[in-house]
Amino acid sequence: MSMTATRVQHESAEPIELAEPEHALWRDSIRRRCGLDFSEGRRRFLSQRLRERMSLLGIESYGEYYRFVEHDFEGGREWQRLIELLLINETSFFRHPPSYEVLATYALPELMRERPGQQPGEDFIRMWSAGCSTGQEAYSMAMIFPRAAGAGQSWQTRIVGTDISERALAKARRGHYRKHELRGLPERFAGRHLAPAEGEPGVYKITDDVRAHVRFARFNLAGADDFYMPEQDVIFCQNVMIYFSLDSRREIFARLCRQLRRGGYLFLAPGESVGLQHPGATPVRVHDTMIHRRAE
Amino acid sequence: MIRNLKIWQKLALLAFAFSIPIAVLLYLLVAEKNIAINFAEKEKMGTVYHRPLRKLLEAVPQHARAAAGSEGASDSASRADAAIRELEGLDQQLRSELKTDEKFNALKDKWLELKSKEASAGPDVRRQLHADVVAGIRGLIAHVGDTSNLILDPDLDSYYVMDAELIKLPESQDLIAQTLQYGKEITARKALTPEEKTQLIVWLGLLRSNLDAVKAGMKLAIDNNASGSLKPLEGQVQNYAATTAAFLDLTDQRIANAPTIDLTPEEYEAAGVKALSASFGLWDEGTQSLDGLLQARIDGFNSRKFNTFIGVAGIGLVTLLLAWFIVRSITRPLAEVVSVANRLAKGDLSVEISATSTDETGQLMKSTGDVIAYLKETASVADQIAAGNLSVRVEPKSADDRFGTSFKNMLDSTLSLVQSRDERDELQKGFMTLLGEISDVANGDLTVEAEVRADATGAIADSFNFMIVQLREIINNVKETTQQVSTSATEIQTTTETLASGSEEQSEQITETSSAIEEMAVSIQQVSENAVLSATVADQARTNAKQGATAVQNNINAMQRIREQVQETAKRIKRLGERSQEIGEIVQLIDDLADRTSMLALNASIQAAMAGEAGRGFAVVAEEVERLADRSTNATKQISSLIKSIQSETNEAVAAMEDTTREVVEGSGLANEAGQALTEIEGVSDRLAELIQSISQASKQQARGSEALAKSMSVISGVTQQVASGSREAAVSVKGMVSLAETLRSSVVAFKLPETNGNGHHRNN
Repeated sequence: MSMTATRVQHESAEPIELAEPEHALWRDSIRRRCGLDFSEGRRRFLSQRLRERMSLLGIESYGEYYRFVEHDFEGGREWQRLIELLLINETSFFRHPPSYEVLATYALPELMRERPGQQPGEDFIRMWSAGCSTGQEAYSMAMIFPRAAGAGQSWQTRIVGTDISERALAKARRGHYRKHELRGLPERFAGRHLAPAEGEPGVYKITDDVRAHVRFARFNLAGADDFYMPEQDVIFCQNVMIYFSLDSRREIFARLCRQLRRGGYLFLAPGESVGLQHPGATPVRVHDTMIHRRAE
Repeated sequence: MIRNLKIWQKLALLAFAFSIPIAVLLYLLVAEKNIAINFAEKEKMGTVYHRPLRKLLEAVPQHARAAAGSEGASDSASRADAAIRELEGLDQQLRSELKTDEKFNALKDKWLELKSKEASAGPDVRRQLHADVVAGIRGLIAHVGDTSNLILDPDLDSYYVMDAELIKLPESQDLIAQTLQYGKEITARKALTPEEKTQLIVWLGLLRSNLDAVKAGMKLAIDNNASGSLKPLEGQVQNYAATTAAFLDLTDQRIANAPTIDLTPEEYEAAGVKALSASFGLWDEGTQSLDGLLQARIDGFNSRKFNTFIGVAGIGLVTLLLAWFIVRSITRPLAEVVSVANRLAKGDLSVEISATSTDETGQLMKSTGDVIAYLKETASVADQIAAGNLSVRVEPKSADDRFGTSFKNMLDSTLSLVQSRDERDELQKGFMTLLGEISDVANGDLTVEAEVRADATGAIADSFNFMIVQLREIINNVKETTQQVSTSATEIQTTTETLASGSEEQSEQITETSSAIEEMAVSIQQVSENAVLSATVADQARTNAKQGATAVQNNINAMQRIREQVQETAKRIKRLGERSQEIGEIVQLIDDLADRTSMLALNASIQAAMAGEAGRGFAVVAEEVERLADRSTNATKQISSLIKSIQSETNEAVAAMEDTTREVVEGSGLANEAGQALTEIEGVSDRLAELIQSISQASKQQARGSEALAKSMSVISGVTQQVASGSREAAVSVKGMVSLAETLRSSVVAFKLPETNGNGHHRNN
C-alpha cells in the first residue's frame, strides 16, 4: 500500500524542468563563475542537479535558489556545494590509449633528445594533467613515464594534477580506487603500481613510487585565478573542454598553449581541437593522433 | 570555576574587580597633578634663567650710554661679562630643558663682537652693535618664556606678573634706555633735527602705552591674587609708574616739544636712570613674587596629591573593613547551618540552632531550627508508639507534609489492623509463615508453592499459587518468544545490512555510470558541433570549387581567344614575308636597270672618247651616270640582304607563333582537366556535406538516446537510493528490535522455573 503510494507520488511529482528566464540566469551565472556551459543541450542535467540541492534546502523555485546562491550570506558556501554536483568526474586510467602511446614513443623521447645537456635541476620533465578529476590521468602519465625515460637514465618527472572539484581532488590525493575504477589499466601496470588497500576489501591504492611524482591542487581553468605554475613540457587536457562554452574553450586553449614550455606538447582529446588555434602552437599529427607543439 | 569558590573568595573577587577602576582613577588623578607640578617646575626654571638676563639687560645699555673707553664703560662691561658667565653656567644646566644653547651662543658672539669692534667703531656702528645685543637679550628672554611654559601660565595673577617680567618690562627698559641715550646726545648738542623729533615721539608713544599696559596688568595680577602675596608689589608699581611718567614728561616737554633745549645731559640721565632702576626694581620684586607664586602652586599640588593618596587609602581601608564584616556575617551563620545539617544528616537530633539575624542567613538558620524541632517531635511520637502507647495523635503540619501524612497513615493503619493483641498475634504468625513460604518469589524463584491453610491466609495462598502458575507460563512464553525473535531478527539484520551495502554500492556505480553517460552526451554534443563546423567547411570547399571551376572556364576561354589572336598574327606575318619577296623582285629589276645603265654609260663614254674634244663634256656625264649606277647596285644589294634577314625573322616568328599556339592548346587541355577535377571536388564536397549531415543527425539521435538513458538512470538511481535508505532504516529498526528482545530476555532470565515446565501444575484449589 505504502509502496504504491510512494510510486504514484514519485510519478505524479514529475519534476518541472528549468525554463526561461531562470535558465538564462543560471546559465550566465555559471558561465561567469567557472566557464562551464549549460546551454540548451545540458538544461535537463542542470535542472536535475539544481533540484537535488533545492530539495535538500527546502527551496521551491529555481529563481529563489538563484537569489539564495547569488545574494545570501551563505551563498558562497552553497555555490561550492552546487559546483561539486555540476561537475562530471568521469575519467579512467589510460582513457585514450593512442595519446599515451604518442606520449611515450614520440613526445617524451623528442623532449629528452632536444635537451641533451642535462643540467642539475633540468633533468626532469614537467607534466600537467589539467582537469584531472579523480587523478587517474595524472597517475597514468606517471606510470608510463619510465618507459620513455629508459633504464639507467636520470630523467625524472614532476606531475601536477589540477581540478576545480575539491571532492575529486581529495579522492585523487588519496589514490584509492575500486576495482571497476581500474578499467583501462593494463595488467602490467596494475601489477606493478597498485596494492590492495588495508581494511578495505575491493579497493586498491596507488603505490608510493608513483604517488611521489604526482601532486594535486585546486585550479579553475576558466577562472581568472592567479595560479603560479612553471612552464610545462607536457599538458594533458582531455575531455575537459567539451564542458565549456566555445569562448571559454578558446581562452583555455590559449592559456594551455601559453603554459607550455618551448617545444612542449599539448594533448587534447580527439575532436576537441576542432575550431581552436593559437599562434604559438603548431598542430602535429603523430600516428593518427593530433597533438599541439609549442613553437621554439 | 566561579561556582567552586568559597563565598569569601567570591566576595574578595568582587571587591578586587571594583578596586581596579578605583586604582585607575587614582593613577589618573596623581598623573594629572604630576603634570601640573612638572609644568610649574619648568616655569621656575624660566625665572631662574631670567635673572642673569636681567643683569645683562641693565648692563648693556649702560655700556652703550657710557663713552667708549670711560670708567663707566669698563665697569658696565665687566658686569655684563659677569652676567654672561653666570648665564653660561646656567645654560649648561638648562639648555636641554629650555633649548637655549643656539640663541645664547648667538648672544654671546654678539657681545664679543661688540667688545672687539667698539674701540674702532663710529657712534652709529657702536649704537647698532648695542642694539643688536639688546635685541639678542630680549629674544632670549622671550624664547625662555616660550620653552619654560611661562607664557602658558594657567593662573591669572602669575600670568600677568609673568607677562610684565617677560615682555612689558624688558620692552620698557629697552625703550627707556634708547630714549635716554638719544635724548642725552640731543641735550649735549642742544639741537633737535625733525627726524630725531619724530623718533622721540614714536618712542614716547610706545613707552606710554607700555606703561599703561604694565600698570593695568599689575593691577589685574594683584586684584586676582588670593593669597595677597603680591601686595608688596603695589609700591614698586607706583614708584615705577611715577618715575617713568616723570621721565616721559621731561623728554616730551623739555626736549621733543621744547622751543629751546636747556636741559643738561646729566639732569636728563639722572631722570632716565631713576626710571630704569625703578623698572628693574619692579622686575626684581616681580621675579621674586613669581617664584613665590610658582612655589606656592607646586606646594599646593603636592599637598593635594598627598591628600588624594590619604583619602583613597582611608576609603579603601574602610571599605575593606566593611567587606570583612559583610563576609563574616554571611559565612559564619552558613558555616553553623552546614555543621548542623551535617550532624542532622547523620541522624543526630541533639543539635540546636537559633537565628542570630533577620537576613536570609538568619532565615535559613531559623528554618533549620524548625526542621530539627519537627524531627524531634516526630521522633518522640515514634518513641512513644514503640513503647506501646498507641494513643498518641499525629497531625500533618500542612497538606504538603508528606512525612507527617505518611506517619499518620502508618499509625492509622496499624490501629485499624490491630484490633486486639491476640488477633494481631495470630494474623501475624499466619502472615509470617506465608511470607516465609513465598519470599523467594521476590528473588525470581517460581518453583515455590504456598501451603493453603484454613485461616485468613488460605485465600491469599491459593490466589498466590494460581498467580505463580500463570507467571510460569508467561515467563516460559516470553523466554521462548524472545529467543525466536532474537534469532530471526539477527537473520533479518544480516540480510538488510547486506542489502543496504549492496544497494549503496549499486547506487555508487549508478552514479558513476550516470557520469559516464552524461560525459557521453556532452561528447556527442561536441561531435554534433564538430559536424556542424565540418558542414560549414565542406560547404565552403564546394563554393570554392565552384568558384575555381568558373575561374578555370574563364581561363580556357581566354586561352582560346589568345590562340585565335596568335593565329591571326601569324597569318599577317606570313603575308609580310610574301610581300618582302615581292620587294626582292622589284629590287632585282632595279638591279638589272642599274646594270644596263652602267653598260649604257660605258658605251656613252666610248662614244665620247671617240668624239674627241667635243665629247669631253659628255664623257664627264657618262662617268657620273656610271657612278650612280654603281651606287644603285650597292643599295639594291643592301636591300636584298635586309629582305633576306626579314624573311628569316618572319619565318622564326611564325615558328614561335606556332609553338605558342601549341602551348596554348596544351594549356587549355590542362585547364579543362582542372575544371573537371574541380567539378569532381564539388561533387565530393556535396557527398561530404551529406555524410556530415547524416553524422549530425545520428549524433542528435544519439544525444536524445543518451538523454533518455540519463533520465532512466536518474530514476533508477532514485529508486536505488530509496532502497538503500529503506534497507538502512530497516537494519536500524531490526537492530532496535534485537536489543529490545535482548532486554526482555535478560529481564525474565532472573526467574527460576521448575524442571517439569510449569504446565504440569494445576490449580491447587
